[in-house]
Amino acid sequence: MTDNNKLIRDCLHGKPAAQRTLYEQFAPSMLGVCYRYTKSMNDAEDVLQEAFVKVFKHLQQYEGKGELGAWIRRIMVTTAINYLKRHSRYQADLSFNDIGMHPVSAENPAVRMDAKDLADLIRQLPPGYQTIFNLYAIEGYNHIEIGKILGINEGTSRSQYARARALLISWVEKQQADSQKKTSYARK
Amino acid sequence: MDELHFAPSDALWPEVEKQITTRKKRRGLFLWLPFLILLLGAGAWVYYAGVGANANKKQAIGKKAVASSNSTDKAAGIVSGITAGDKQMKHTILSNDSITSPHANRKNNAIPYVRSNKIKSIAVIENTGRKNISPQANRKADMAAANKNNRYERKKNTVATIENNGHTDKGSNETYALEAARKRNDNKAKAERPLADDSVIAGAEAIISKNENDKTGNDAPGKNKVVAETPVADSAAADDSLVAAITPVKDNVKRVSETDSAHAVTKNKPAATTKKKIEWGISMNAGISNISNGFSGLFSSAASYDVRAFSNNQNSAPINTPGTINGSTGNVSFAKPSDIRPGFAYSAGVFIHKQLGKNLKVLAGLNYSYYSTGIKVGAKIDSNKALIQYRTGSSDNYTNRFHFIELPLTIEKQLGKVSPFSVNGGLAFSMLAGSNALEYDTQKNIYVKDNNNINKVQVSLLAGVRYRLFQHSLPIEIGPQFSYGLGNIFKKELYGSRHLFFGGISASIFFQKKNSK
Repeated sequence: MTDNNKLIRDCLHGKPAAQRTLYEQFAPSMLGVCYRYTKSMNDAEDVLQEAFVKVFKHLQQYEGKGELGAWIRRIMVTTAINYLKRHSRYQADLSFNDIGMHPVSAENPAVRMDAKDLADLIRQLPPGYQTIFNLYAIEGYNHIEIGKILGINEGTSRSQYARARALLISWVEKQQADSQKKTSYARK
Repeated sequence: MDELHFAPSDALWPEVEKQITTRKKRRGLFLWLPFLILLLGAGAWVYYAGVGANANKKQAIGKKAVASSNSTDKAAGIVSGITAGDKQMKHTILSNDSITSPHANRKNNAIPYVRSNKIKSIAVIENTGRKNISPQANRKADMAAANKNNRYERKKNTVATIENNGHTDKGSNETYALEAARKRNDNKAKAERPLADDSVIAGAEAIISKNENDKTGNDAPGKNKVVAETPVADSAAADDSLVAAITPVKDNVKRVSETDSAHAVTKNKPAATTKKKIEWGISMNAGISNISNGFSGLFSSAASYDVRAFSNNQNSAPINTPGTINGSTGNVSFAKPSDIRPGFAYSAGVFIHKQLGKNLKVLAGLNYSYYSTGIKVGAKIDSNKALIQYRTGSSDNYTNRFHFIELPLTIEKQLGKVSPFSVNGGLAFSMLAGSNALEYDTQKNIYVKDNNNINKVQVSLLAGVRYRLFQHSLPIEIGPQFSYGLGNIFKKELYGSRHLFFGGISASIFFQKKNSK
């Protein structure tokens, strides 16, 4: 923490070395965050670049409450969502229909998956489902906060998340079934 | 879930660094530019005020010199028998060989030394009432006739009327006249008063008294209107008397030779053409600014565009009590967005202008401009301290501020040759230097500060009317001014166009260069 405070102070004083250090410390993980919200690595890097500019611009607003990484992560998420809204290739699918509340489907056992594979699966979801799933399951926002961020009802957030989760589970199960079939054929 | 880690490409950091550095430079310039403009304006004001004062001083001195040269002309006219005001006299005097007198070691320098063979500076006087003309008188008449051929004109109303005091003694006459003349001349010279006829008359007395002593066969004592013409004298005494006679004019002649040369130059050359150059000035505007969706909405008091957007939004919550964070089970209701109110606006800068025709000029400037609008907002959203976000509501006032660097280009047309009124019109190209403006996000129903959503380059239409004051000293033009942004201030155009406009009073100070002669 003390190291981070010194780093922040140096960044606020405009020291290029300190700014570079901050960037290199958080860029790899933040790129992963951006990757989850976008459909390509190029878009993810665009979001990362835009977000880091905001980080350095608003660094004086970081009051030290909570971790610096969490603060930067929130900027990444917001920037990613704004990016999706601005770009036409995402806008068509980034719609949140105001559907009434649906009961959440029965809980299924969590499927163990590689983080990268899961992220790739999530990125295959429609952008609306993808965003809500990321915000709830990955970033930890609750549905009320998601509703405020995206400008939708809490109920819409819940239902969209449920649908996204159900879709993911079906894909994972299908993948597992396919891999088991391949294994059995190979044995034969 | 485990964190995903990816290595960003090498080209990413230089881009981030470049944007950070550009922002800092822009901010620095934005902070210093208005002070620099005001400082330049103040410095120019002081400079031109001083130049104007000096110019007035010089003109006053010039006028005095002309006045004294006129009186000098008069004296010279007296000496030469030509009335003052005769312009030709000036040239005559100028044409003198203004050589340094042999008496240059005296106080009175630069006495025009009249050579014995030259007639130029000597008056021709009409001798009236004589019947018996002596040989000397004949010679005088011949000289007078010869004078006629000079540039002098004979005038009947000549100058010196001197009364023969009846002195007969040559030496005493000369001495008396010389001393009298010298006394008077010294007094006059010290006082530096315009040359009076008396001093010349006194000087002429010396000559006349001398000449009187030389006369033969002159049986007409009494008043003679004379001044001897030239062959002035081979004798030193005669020279002295002549010198004394014209001593009173010495200083003025010197001044004449100095100033009249200028006048002669001025007279001979055509008047200097007042070539119109590029001149400059400073301008200031103050008034109000607002955002409209077009010309028709400029003075509209209807609900602002944010409210209309809120109403049109299919996903918007019902308009009920202000939104709460911990909402009940069921739909969360949100407050509607605020009306946009006008705010204070001003600009200051410098400009250059050039006259295109009699009543037409073009102006180009560089301004710092500040625009603002007012909205009401709810509580600030603190969940993300990196972003400035506010809930809709009416608990707080918030001022949206826009800082621009503008390049206005206008054409100004004067309404009539002598009319103080003029109209102007043109375009202004602006670059956003900074802003804290909140934009209503229709998706989230909150206000967000995001300068990426502001169109940083703006083109505005300018129009105004001006009234000119203090035309001849330091012209100031003042009058109403209006500008209207032709493009959208915000990039999002989902709910119509939004144009930044300004209305207020404009004042411009024109610094004029004095035409040097």
